[in-house]
Amino acid sequence: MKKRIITLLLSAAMVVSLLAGCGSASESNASTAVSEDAATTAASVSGDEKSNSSEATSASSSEESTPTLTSVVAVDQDSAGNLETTSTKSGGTLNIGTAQSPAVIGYVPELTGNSMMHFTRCAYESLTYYDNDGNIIGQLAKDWKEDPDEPSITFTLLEGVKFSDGTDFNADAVKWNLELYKEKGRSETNNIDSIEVIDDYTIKINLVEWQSSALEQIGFFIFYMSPTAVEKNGEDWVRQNSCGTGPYVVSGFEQGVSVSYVKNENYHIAGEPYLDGIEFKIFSDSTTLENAFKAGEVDVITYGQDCDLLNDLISFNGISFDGCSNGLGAESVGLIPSSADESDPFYKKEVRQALCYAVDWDSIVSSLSYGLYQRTNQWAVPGSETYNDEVVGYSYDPEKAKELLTEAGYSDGFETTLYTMSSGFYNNAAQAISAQLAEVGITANIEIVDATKGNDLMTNGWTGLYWHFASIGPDLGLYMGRHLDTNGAYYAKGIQHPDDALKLLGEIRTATDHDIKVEKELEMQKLIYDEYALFGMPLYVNSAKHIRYNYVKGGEFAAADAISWSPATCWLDK
Amino acid sequence: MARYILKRLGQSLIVIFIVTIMVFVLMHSLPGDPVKIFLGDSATPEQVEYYTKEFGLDQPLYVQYFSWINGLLHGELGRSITYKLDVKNLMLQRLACTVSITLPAFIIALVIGVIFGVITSVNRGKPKDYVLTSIANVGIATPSFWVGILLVYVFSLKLAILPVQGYVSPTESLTGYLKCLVLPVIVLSLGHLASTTRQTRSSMLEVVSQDYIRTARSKGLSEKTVIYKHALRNALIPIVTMMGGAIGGLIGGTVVIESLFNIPGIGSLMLTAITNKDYMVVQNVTFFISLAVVIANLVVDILYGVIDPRIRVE
Repeated sequence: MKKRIITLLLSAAMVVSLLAGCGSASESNASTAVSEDAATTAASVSGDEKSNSSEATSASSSEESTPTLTSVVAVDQDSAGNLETTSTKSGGTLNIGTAQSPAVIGYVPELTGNSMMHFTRCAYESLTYYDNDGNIIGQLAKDWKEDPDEPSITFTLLEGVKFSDGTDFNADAVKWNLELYKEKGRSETNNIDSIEVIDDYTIKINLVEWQSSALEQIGFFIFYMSPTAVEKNGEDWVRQNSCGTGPYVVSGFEQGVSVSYVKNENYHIAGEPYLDGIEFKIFSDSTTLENAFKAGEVDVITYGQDCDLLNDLISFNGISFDGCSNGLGAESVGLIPSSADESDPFYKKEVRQALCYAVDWDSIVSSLSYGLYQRTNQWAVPGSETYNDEVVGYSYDPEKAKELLTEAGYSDGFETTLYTMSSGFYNNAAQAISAQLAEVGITANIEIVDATKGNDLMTNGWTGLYWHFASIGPDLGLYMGRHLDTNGAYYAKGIQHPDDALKLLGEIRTATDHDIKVEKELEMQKLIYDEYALFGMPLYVNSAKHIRYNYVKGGEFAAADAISWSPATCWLDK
Repeated sequence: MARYILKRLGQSLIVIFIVTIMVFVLMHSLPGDPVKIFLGDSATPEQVEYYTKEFGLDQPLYVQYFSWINGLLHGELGRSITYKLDVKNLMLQRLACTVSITLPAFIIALVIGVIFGVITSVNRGKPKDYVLTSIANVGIATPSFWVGILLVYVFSLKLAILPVQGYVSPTESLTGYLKCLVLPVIVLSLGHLASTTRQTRSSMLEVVSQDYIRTARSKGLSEKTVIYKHALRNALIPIVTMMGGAIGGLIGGTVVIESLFNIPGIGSLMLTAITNKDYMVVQNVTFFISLAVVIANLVVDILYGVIDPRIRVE
C-alpha cells in the first residue's frame, strides 16, 4: 500500500514537472511578443536621441516594422554621446561581462582582433578616433596632414600627455611603437616606409605608396605603450599589465577569468576618468552571463551577443542596448560559396546567383533571430556611408534560381556541402537553407564543424558553402580587401578574384579624394553582389554590441564605433 | 607488496607513454592552425610566420614531440599559445581552483553517500529506505547541468542569497569562497553521492546476510558495532573501487560545471585549449590527468590490502 502511494506521488511529480516545462516554453513565446512591443515603444520614446536611432528606425521601418536592437537605444545620451541633465558622479567599479578572453592584456602589438578593443581602450589610446557620424577626430593627435603625393602623413601630437608610469608621450615614443608594430608584422604598418621625428610633438610617417585607409590604419588601430616601461620591465611583464596613456591601468589579469583596471592618476584629461575601476568578467557560457547580468553581478554585457541572449533580455526592465549604425566596427554574417575551383559548380556566377534567389533569406533571419538581426544585402550596414541603395540584391525566387541553374548547365541540380557550427542560429539556419536549396535541386549536405575546423576552412579554403564572417566597416579597401585580395588572410583561397574587382579595389585604396573613394566603394558593392554574387548572400548585421543597466551613464558605448567605447567618460548613477 | 607496486608503476609508465603519443598525434591531426586562431581574422602572413617560429611549430613533429617529453622530464611544460603563459603556472592555478571545488564535493559524496547507503541497507523496506533510495535514483537520473541551472534560478536569481557565478579563492576571502562553493559542490556531489549510496546499500545488503554477521549479533554485540565495525568494512571494497574511478572524472570532467558557474578550473582550461588547438596545454593536462588516474588506481589497489587483509597481491 505504502509502495503504491509513493509510486503515485512520484508519478504525479513527474507529470507536474513535464507540464511546468511545457508551460515555460509558451511563456517565453509570449514574452517575445511583449518584447517586440517594448522595443517599438522604446524606439518611439527615444526617437529624438541618438542619430543612429533615427537611422536605425527608418531602416527597421522599411522591414515591415520588425524591431531591431538598433532601435532600442539609450535614453540618457544625445547624439554626440554627451550626458543629459544629470551631473556625473565619481567612484564605483563598473563590472562588465564578456565572452571575449584576451591572451595578453598590455602588449598591444599582440592584441589582435576587434573583440579586444573593449579591453585595449581602457588603458591605451590611439592617435585618432571617430565621432558618432564616423568622421575621424583626434585622440592623441590634435592634427594631421595627409600628403598623397609624397606619400606621407604628418601628425601633430597632443602635448602634456603622460604614460601611466609618468613618462612623456611624445614623437619618439610614437616612433618606437610604430617600429615595434612593424617588427611584429602587424598589417597596419606594412605600408610604412620610414618615420621621421620632426620635433617632440611632430612626427612624419612616410608611406611606401599612398593608401586611402592609411590614416585609419595608423591612426585608429595602433596603440602606444611607454617605451620606458617595456624596456625596464620586459615584454612578459607588459603582457600581464599595461603602460599606456589611457584612463585606466591594469591592476589584475587572470587569463580566461577576469581583467581588472584602476584609475590612471596620470590621465591627461582633467576630471576623468570618473570610475574607480573597471572589472571585466569573462564568461564561457552565455546563459551564465545572462543570469549574472540579471542578478546584477555585471552592469554591462559587451560584444557579440547572440540572438537568444538578446531576445531574453529585450523585455528586461531598466536596461538599454547600444548599437552603432555608421558601420564602423560592425560585423556581418553571410553564406559564402566556394568559387575558386573550376570544377566547383559555384565557380559559375549563375550558380552563385541561383543560390541567392533560391532561399528566403528575409524569413530565415527574421524568424530565427526573433526579428532582432538587421538584414543587409551587401558589405555595409544599411544607412552607412558605403551602403549602396542601388544594389538590387536577390529576392526569394526559386523559379529564377532554377532558370539560372539550367543556364549554367545544372538543370538536374548538384550536390554540395554546407558547413556550419552546431550552435543556435547557425545550425537552425543551415537546416532551413538546406531544405530550400533542395527545392531547386541543390542538395546541400550539412556538415557540423567546430571552431578549429571552421578556422581551417576560412584560411585554407573550402568546397561548398560556409558562413561568412566579415568586419563590414565603410572602408572597403581595408575591410573587404582582407577577403578579396588574392593573399587575404581569410576566405581568399576559396573564392575567385575577378580582375575588374581587384582593379577597383586598387583604385579605392589609392583614392586621394574621399568623395571619389566613396563613389568607387558604392560601385564595388554592385560589382561584388549584383554582378558576381562573389560573397554569396549576406544575411545580417549584428550592430548591437552592448547591453547595460540604465544607471551606467556615459561611456559612449558603440556610439562612434561598434567595437569601441569611451571608458574615461563612463560613470555610475547609483 | 613492494614488488607489486613497482610492477604496477612499470605498467603505468607504459600506459602513460602511450597516452603521450596518442594525445600528441591526435592534437596535431586536428585541422586548424593554432597561430591563426590566436591572431584572429586580421592576421597577416608575416605575423603567422613570426609566431609559428616563436612557438616552435615550424619544427618537424618528432622534434616537437621529443622537445615536449624532454621538457616534461625536466619540469618544463612549455608555453601556452592561447594565454602566452608558462603552462606549469597556468595548470597549477587552475588545478588549485578545481581541487578546491571537487575535493569538498568528493568528501561530501563519499561520507554522506556511505552514511545514506548504510541507513538504507539497515532500514530496508522502511520509509527511510524508500526516501533515500528515491533521492539517489533522482540524483543519478538527473543531468548535473540541469540541477545547476535550477539551483541558480532559485537561489541566485529568485532568492538572491548565493552568487550566480564566479570563484573566490579561500586565501582571498573565506566567506566569498564558501558562498561560491555551495552550488557547484551540490551539483558536483549529487551524482557521486547517489551512486555511492546505491553501491553502499547493495554491498551492505550482501554483507549483512552473511553468517559472520549473524554470529556477531548472536554474540551480543551492539548493532552499531556489527554494522560499522564488521559489515561496513567488508562492504567497502566496491565503494573504494568506484571512488577511485571517480578521481579522473573529478579532475578533468568538471568542464560543464565550470562553464555553468564560470569557475576558472582545469576543465574550462582544457575546453579553451582544445578549441584553440593549444597543443602544450592539452598535452600536458592530459598527461597529468592520466597520471592522476593511474596513481588513483594504484592507491585503490593498495587500499584493498589495507581494508581486507585477506587480499594478498602476488
